[in-house]
Amino acid sequence: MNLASELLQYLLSGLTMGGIYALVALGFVIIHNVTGIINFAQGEFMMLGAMFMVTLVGLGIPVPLSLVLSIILVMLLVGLIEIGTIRTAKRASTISLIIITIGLSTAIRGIALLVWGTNPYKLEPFTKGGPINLGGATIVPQSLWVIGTTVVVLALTYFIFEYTFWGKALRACVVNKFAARLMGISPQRMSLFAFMFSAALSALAGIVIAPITYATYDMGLMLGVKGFIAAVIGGLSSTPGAVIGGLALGIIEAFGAGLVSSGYKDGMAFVILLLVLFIKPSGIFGAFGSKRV
Amino acid sequence: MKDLLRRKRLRHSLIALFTVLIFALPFIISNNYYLSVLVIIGIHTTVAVGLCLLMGYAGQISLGHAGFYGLGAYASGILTSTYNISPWVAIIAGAIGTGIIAYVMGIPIFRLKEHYLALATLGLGLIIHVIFVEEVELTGGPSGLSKSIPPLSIGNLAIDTDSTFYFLVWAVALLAIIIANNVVHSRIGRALRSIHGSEFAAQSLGVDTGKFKLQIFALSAVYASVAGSLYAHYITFISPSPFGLMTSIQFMVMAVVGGLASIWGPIFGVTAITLLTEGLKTYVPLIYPQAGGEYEIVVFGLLLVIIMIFLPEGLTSGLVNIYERWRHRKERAHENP
Amino acid sequence: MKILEINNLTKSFGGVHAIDDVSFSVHRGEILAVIGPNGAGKTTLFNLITGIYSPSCGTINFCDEEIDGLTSYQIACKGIARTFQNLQIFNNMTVLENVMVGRHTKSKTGFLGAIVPIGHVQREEIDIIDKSLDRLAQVGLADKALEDASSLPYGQQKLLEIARAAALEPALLLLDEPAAGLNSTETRELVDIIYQLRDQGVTILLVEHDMETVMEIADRLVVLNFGNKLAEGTPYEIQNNQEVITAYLGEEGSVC
Repeated sequence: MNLASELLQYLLSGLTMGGIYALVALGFVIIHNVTGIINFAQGEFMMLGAMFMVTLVGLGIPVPLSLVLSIILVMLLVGLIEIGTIRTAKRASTISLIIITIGLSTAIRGIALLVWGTNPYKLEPFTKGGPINLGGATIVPQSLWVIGTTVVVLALTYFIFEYTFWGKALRACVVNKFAARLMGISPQRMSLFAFMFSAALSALAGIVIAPITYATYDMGLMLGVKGFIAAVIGGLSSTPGAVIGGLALGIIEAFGAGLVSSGYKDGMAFVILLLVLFIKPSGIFGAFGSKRV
Repeated sequence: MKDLLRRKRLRHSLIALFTVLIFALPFIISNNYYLSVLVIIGIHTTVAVGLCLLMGYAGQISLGHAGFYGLGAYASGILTSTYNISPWVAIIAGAIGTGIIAYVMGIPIFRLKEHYLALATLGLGLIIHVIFVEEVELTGGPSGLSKSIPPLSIGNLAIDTDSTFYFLVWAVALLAIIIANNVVHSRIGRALRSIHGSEFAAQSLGVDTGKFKLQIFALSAVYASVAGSLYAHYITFISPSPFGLMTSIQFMVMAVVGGLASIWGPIFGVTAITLLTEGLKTYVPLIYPQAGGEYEIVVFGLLLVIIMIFLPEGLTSGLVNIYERWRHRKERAHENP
Repeated sequence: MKILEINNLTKSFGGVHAIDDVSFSVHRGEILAVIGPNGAGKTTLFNLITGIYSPSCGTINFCDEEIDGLTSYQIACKGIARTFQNLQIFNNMTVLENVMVGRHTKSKTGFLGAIVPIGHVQREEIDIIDKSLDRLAQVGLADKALEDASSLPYGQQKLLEIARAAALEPALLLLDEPAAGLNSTETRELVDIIYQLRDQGVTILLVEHDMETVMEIADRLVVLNFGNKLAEGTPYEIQNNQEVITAYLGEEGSVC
């Protein structure tokens, strides 16, 4: 394989993972913008999507139906969790809320461990077929599914935000929560909607990547952290930023793993995180709010 | 003024009483399993006290404290087994090194607030863990240090039994508690707590909040490092797995459950969590034989959520508050029959 | 003698000039009040003086030393203390401990002294407690010393903040709306405390909406409107300044 194909290979695998990171990052940003909370459990929503999918497909339910059902199941579960915990803890300090979402993430992971065990589960790729050759680089069909899904989902999200009531209400809450309330938009309902919408995004991401990376009870941990890193890179208050951050992270990781060292691949994401936090914590597109005294 | 002196004397007597109790325990308990659990509790208490100083009193957060714990463990492990350095020197070297690393890494990290801060500490802890796994020549990689770690010794007395370790570990833990207690009730402690109360106001009163955050971060890292060194000598073998994110979360659970802004909180929290963990390890396989791995993490997670929602001050203060409120209600019931 | 000089001070946020080319001086020992409608830039001014913001243009001199660009805690060390419009008391500490933090710049025990509290450390601690109790007595809160600061009623919390700031022994004390939310009895107590502090040699710069109180205690006033300085002078001069009356006093009813 010559250099050009190698680089193309890295680019393609970078875009694949980058798409996943972008979807998870988008989930973070939506929840953060509406509620101010950083949801450390975002990665677990992704894991739940993948695990539900594995179970439903294992029961013999056709793949497309399983996909829809899995997403709906995750959304319902997350909705219940939001009502039970986040809504109940509304007056808690930020650090308390952070610890709560960490606790949720841990608990969900533990329950998944009890239900599904430690074994990795294999999910069949959406379409059969061997690796496709693209200019000297190889790409599995599922990667194309991932990239394609990412594009479609982003377009759909944009459409929802721009043209539907719920989407516009969500944006209103981001811009001015008080005014939104005066307009009859309930912040509680928006918080619930934000959580459920983000859960759907993450669940889909988990389902779509599972055929490539296998589904395990702790897949949410790393992917969730990296999704968050992507969101921070892009700027926590910016939805296009989250997407760009995700893609950038995926690509940098792929090139780093290929050109430098694959063992430190995970470490690379954290180093990037620290770099961004130190140089421009508000991210590429973000703006820092300041506290009023 | 008299009230203050009375409170101070009460605190000191409690610490003295506790010291006597702790050192008397091994003469009552001779079962090695129980002693070993108590040793682990002692080691974790040291970490938790440092974490409480950082999280409870200064109001900061660290999601990567297992990293410092691991740095102490690996420093002791590597310096003693590969380079034949005296274990005591290794502990001190590890502590100083970890403190410096924490201070230096803290400079950019503590410019951040809240979520960003939490995430940066998480990233730091994870990077340290990755280094433990990847630097195979130095650390032995995922399979751990290949040479076993020599025991600590004072003169001719080797500290290699559960009971001798018990005394060492708890002497260290008590020292940690006494130091923390002194710091909290001093000008430094007030400055730290003022940062938690209102960083703007603290600065307006001349508190160099940046410097203080760094110092307390470094101190809590030193506590974790010393505990980690003790752990290494106790277990005599270390690998990267006890020094990852789950352990950081476990430490945080212990600190939170016990009560962050409390000197006694860490002991209660650590004891409660350790007993819970041991209990789970013993009894869950009886009900659920096919479950594998650390299912106690479910309980940890749920505990974090429940405590943060209902008892954010933790078990010690929280239970005291509940008791106080119950008592007031009883009193009022007597007044208005 | 000018203790504080504001020279051509400007602070912009985006395109908005919160403070626009404002200049005035504070004389040592006086009580100077800054008044103006909401949004006029008064708290921004305080935040600029105490280092929370840095100026976009202009300088701030304290005792002939330039302090714009210094951090908040450095400015506090120079001798400027403040209270906050939305209370910033330390809810996680007792009343006495709140004031003891005010003594931070007047004491020097460090980590080592904290860990091993030998003789002179203990003596310093007693001194801090004594001086803090004095300040609490000054505002009438000495009997609440060991209670949680969060348990005090609002009016007393405001006094606590003043005691805490005064414990720093500032040369210049900035009070941000000290009378807001106080009833008339509490306001009279406040006025007495302010006079006491002035008699102890503290120069006072305050922002206030309560016109009656302001006109009574201020030696001079500065009027801000939309970030600009509208007028400067004695209460009598300000009350009779046509521009001020039109922009501010006139719309809220005149003060006789």
